[in-house]
Amino acid sequence: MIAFIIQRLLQGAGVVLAMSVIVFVGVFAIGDPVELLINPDADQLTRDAVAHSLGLDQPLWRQYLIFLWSAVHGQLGTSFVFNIPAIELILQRLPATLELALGATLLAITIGIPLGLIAGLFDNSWFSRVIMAGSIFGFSLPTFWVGLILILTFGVWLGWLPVFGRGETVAVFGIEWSFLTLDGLAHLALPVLNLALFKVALFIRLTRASVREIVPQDFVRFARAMGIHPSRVLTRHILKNIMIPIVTVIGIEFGSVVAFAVVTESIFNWPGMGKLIIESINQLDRPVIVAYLMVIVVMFVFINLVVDLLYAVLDPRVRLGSTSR
Amino acid sequence: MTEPLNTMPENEQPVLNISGLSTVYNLKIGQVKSVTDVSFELARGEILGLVGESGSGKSVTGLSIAGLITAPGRVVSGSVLLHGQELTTLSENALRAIRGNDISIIFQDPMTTLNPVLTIGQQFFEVIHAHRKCSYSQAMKEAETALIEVGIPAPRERLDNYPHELSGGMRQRVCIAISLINKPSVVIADEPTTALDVTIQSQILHMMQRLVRERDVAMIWVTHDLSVVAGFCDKLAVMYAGRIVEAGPVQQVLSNPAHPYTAGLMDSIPGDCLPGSRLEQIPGTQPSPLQLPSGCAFRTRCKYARNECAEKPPEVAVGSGRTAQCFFPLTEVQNVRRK
Repeated sequence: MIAFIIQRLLQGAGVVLAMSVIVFVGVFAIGDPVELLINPDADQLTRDAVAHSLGLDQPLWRQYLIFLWSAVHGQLGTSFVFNIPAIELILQRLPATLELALGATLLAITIGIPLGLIAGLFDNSWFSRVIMAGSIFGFSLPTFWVGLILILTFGVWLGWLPVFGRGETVAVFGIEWSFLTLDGLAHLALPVLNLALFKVALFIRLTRASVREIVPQDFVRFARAMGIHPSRVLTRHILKNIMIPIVTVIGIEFGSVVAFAVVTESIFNWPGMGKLIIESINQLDRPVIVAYLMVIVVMFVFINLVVDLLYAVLDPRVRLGSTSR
Repeated sequence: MTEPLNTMPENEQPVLNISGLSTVYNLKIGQVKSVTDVSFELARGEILGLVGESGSGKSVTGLSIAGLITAPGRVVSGSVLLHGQELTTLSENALRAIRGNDISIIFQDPMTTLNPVLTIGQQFFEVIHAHRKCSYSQAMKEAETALIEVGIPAPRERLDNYPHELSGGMRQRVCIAISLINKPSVVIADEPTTALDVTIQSQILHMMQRLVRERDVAMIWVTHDLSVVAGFCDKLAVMYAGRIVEAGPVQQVLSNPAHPYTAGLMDSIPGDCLPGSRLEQIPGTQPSPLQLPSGCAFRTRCKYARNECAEKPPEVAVGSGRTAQCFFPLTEVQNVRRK
């Protein structure tokens, strides 16, 4: 088990390193940030001075090595725009995005999995068809459009919910949280709903498909033939078997909400990481972009590790660390 | 069928009494009559071999008895009496209390019958707990005894194993032990040795035979393997296209089959052929269950068929406790010539 974790962490470090090269070269190719940072009327001398102070006069490979050297020492560069460490900037915004991501994932699980179970167990009933038809909408309607409609409906027409920002926050351990205040919760409602909609649909379809696969299997028939109560067959025999694909997707989906809540954060003006990255890209704030992507890669490596460890808990057939896998 | 076959001692009441049982599947392409008018009786300690080709309705018969037919299938008529109690009209809940408790089933494939994510001990507990109040440790004691009975060494360790850690033969022994844990009076075994290799097969057969005798269990052994039936069962019922075409004491039926289909099955056993010679087979294929021939369903493949066979064949007694659904049951002379 320990060997497995160490092995996976080393693999993860490799992924982070490879990713850093790709990101660094990619961001370099986008354009010269000096052009955006200084007055267009500035003379060549000022330009060179700015470029030099930011380290942009060095060749790419040297810039990368400098970045790598400071990264090893825990520094992912200083934002060109804000002039504070990029990592600090990202960590400031992280709680807001985490709040959204956790809210959306929880909502998706609590709605999507039960509906998927119903649709899978009562495959031919009318309500299953309604659930499945609804999930197609959740799947195919674009997030930005749903966000706008939500704002229009609940914010403008009905006036029930705020559509802008985080609302009132409370500091716990020096971090500002919205979900601890009523006002903050009201502010969370619409963006969380917006983000959750696609995931609800995804979980419905995934759960239904898994149930359809497990129910006809012999061990479910055997459990029924042995007179085990249907509710017990569901919780003990079916649910435990379908959790494996579901846990995988929960992990991936949670990661991708944290990383790519950009659209929803922009629409609801949510001061999270997504909004930060969009602004940073617009201003070619290289250290922030690079640091952000590094943080995301590390997060995904971590999530995948957790999911792998959960497999071993859920499925006795999974043996961690064996080379045959 | 009008008169159920009867080979048991007069003084004993049958545990299970099936009469006129019919099950259909209503599919989009039409109605499939999987089981039609099946009747038989079973006494304690008796083993009935239910034999037929794939699709002849033998497994569906087993499932119908246990009330395990699910949509689009439906038991349309007939009665299933267990200790004189009618099962076909019971509510699902009442039936559930009987299943796994008084009627038990053993499935064909031990590799898929056990839940992959529960330990053997947990699976025992599930089945015990479904029918009586029982602590986990008490259940484990019972399970251990049951595993010893089916010949599993080191049963205590096995209880903590997951199914994938056991071999196929071991798993089938576990399935059998689970099926028998609540001391059922009727066990329906749906080809439980088909998926096993031959040496394990005979071990399991011997063990089952011993358990049936010891515990006075009535058993229905669904199979397509006549050689298994010969040494193992007391009675035999041959099914074709959803009907029992011939039934009777096993030795008499096998040594002197009355229905041409039974005779055809016997002739198809490769062991009787000379090496290198062409294997015998029944000509043609089983008719589509959607369009069964009128009258005798076997007449399209039967070399003895005549015009009369388009009518529903009568059930004729062809010896003590033996019946056949045929206009022209084979005589002993014909059987001698056949060989």
